[in-house]
Amino acid sequence: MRSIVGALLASLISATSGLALDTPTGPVVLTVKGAISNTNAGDTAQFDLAMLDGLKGRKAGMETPWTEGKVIFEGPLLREILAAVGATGTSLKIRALNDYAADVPSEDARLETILATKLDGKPMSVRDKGPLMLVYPFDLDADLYNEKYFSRSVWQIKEIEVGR
Amino acid sequence: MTMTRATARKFAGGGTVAVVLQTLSAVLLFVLLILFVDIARQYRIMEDGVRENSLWSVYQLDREVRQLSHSLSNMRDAEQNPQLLDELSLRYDILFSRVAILDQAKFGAYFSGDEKINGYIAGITEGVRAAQPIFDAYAAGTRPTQAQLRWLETDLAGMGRVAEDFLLYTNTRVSHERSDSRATILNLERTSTVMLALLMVSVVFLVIILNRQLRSVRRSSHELQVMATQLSEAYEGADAGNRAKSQFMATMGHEIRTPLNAILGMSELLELSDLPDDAIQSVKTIRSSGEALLEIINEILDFSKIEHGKLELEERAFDVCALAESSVSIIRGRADDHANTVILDLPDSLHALYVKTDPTRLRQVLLNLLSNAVKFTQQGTVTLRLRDFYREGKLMIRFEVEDTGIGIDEAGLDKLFKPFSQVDASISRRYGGTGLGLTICKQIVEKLGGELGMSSTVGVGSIFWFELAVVPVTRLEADGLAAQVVAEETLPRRRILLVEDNKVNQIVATRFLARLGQDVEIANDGAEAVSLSREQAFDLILMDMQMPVMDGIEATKRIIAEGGPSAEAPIIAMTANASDDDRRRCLDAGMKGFESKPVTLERLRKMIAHATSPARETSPAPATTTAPQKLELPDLDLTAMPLQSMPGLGIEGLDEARHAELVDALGEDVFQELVESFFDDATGLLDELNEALRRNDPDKIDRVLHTIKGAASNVGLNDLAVKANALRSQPPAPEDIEMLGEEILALKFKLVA
Repeated sequence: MRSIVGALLASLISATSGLALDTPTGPVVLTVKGAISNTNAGDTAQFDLAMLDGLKGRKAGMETPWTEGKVIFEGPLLREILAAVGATGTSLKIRALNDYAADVPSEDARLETILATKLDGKPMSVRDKGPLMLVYPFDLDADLYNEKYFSRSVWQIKEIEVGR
Repeated sequence: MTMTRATARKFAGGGTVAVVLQTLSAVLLFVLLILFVDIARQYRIMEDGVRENSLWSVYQLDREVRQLSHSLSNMRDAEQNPQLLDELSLRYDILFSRVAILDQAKFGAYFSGDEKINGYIAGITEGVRAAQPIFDAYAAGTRPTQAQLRWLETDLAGMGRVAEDFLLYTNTRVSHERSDSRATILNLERTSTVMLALLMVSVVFLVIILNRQLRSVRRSSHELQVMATQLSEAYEGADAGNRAKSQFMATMGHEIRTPLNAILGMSELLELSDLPDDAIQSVKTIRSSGEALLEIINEILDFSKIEHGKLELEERAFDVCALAESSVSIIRGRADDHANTVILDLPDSLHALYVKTDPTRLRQVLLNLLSNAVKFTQQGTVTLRLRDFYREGKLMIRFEVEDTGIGIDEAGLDKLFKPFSQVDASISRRYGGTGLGLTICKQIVEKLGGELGMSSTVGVGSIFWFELAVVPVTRLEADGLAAQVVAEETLPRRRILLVEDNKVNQIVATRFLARLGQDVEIANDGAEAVSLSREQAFDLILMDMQMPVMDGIEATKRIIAEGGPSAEAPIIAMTANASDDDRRRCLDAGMKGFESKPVTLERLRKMIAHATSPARETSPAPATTTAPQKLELPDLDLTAMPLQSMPGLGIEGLDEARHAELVDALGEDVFQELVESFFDDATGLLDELNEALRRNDPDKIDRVLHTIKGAASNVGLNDLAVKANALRSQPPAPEDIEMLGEEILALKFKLVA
């Protein structure tokens, strides 16, 4: 499994390694560090909202335990971000503003998992779980709707660390 | 039987318990299902992440309040550092989001039941909202004043206490809930364990009961089998007894009839002789008693025939009115004795109507009904009334016998048609009779396809009636019938040479021919036949095939070759087994036809009519050649005929039809004589057979066996004929001959001794 993921990630890298990572112009909302090959600030890769919205993303309506009724999340796919930074690791540590962190296996990036930047079409403020939230495709796979994925659903994300 | 009933009761008891157990099991299963669903639900509740998340959220809230306090005190120490102010603002935003999450639907729903929690949430929300203007203003670019920061510190201290209490309270509450839930599940599990145990017990009992039922089913089926075997044995025993009884009855009937015939004949002769009046009276009494006895015996014999389904019917065309008239005339004498008037009421429509049914049986029924009517009527009237009508397109005739006699009451009617029963016991004393008459009549009428009934009034009289479907015979058929009768009467008197070595066969053939009004000359063998035909002219020669001195073929050749006065006479072979080869040899020798043995009266009549008719002279070939004869030859293959199919008259091995014919043609006495002479001959033949066996002379053995077979079938002893014939197929051993001898002895014992 791991080797397949590695191969997948390697292919993603080979497809994108040629692209240089832009430098953020707005406020930085996400920092990716660890086992990555594309960087733009020291050995980290930094993103502002515009850069994230420029990546291939997904927009989907679903119910979550933390929201009322059906809401629409929108944002770049996790695997696109990892590809953009040329991530080569097998596990991710996703850290929130309040220092809450969750370990997320890289395989989860193969799902249609997004880093939501918008809730119901509006940017997410810190007061409302913003600026970024890891949203699993609960709308596509009902099996994901359990505590395991709830605990990985980090909001107020500020940093992703790619582990080797 | 009692055992079976006990088993049945056990079954019934077991059935009730089984039903109760089944119901119980079903109920238990249902309860268990409900319990299982409940347990599953409880587990889901316990596993529900909401509660855990609630605790986690409250903890996070408490933590964020502390973080904000920490961040504030940091900033106050560092005096308005702008970076720290940003940090403070971020911390506030995070706290804000935490409060929002607590307010949010799912946690809110979980908490909403608790006033205390609502109070905590309200307290914190109020604290956070109160600080909102400061941070909103900072976001808009206005830095908070020192006073505001001090106020914020107080506000946060208050919120911190509330958050701590909230956390502790939530923790306690969640723990309580978890233990409650666990207790509920435990309780449910205990209940379901008890239910499961009960279910198991119930199932075990069910299995035990089922097992016991299976065992008793097996036992009772075994009992049934034993009982069936016993019953069938008992039935066989009873049947064998019954058969022995009927056979005894039939035998006794014959035994009695023979001397009785003699008594009747003698008394009739005596009546004609010159006797004193009182002696004549005595003789008359003897005769009438004898006749009554004969009647009774005949009834018993008829009944035993009917009971064994051996009542055979013939179908013949006859004149119904003539039959009715003759029946009435027979009864008239007895009616006069009772001073009764007999009236015969015949409609014109029945005049000279020929119908087809069994006249003998019909007459029997009529005579029985009439004699009953006469017997039970004194100085009254007995009427025989015939009416014809159509039912469903069939011609029916209704026969009514009406009397003005004593009549029968209701109770008597029930007994009327039961065998051996009479209306009341005094009847048999006063009027006599077997009580079988009506039973026999009813059986006969039913067998003829009709129905018999009666109505009666005590003291007024009775009407016995029966209705029969009859087949009317057309004029043409009736004419043919008449012509046949004429032909029968006018069979020309011819001279016939009978060539036959066996005494029994001689007697039978002679009697038959005498009855047909023919002159018979007997030759004991072929040589005698040749010499007789040399001297006399015969119109017909009946030639036995196997004879001592000279056989039939040789004799035939010689008679024709010598050209004597009988050379032109048709010669007909009489043989018990006419194989194709035999037939060919007969024809080659110059014979004109065959007759298979035993020869019957009817066949003899036809043969004579045929062989001596003038038509033969104009076209001799077809008249006596094989074709018509062949057609009429009864294919009586004795060896192929199963022994059981031989009809017997209570005596095994005696062909009833043949017996009846012989008795009809010759009389019972002569038949008895015949049988006796057969057995006399048989003794000599057996000696010859043994002699031939000793000298190892197969031709002689075969000839003697052939003679036995022929003679036996001639008197109707088909069984014996079959056995004798069977011995011819291969050289018989001395034991076979011995067995045949025993067979003959046994039959002799039955028939003659």
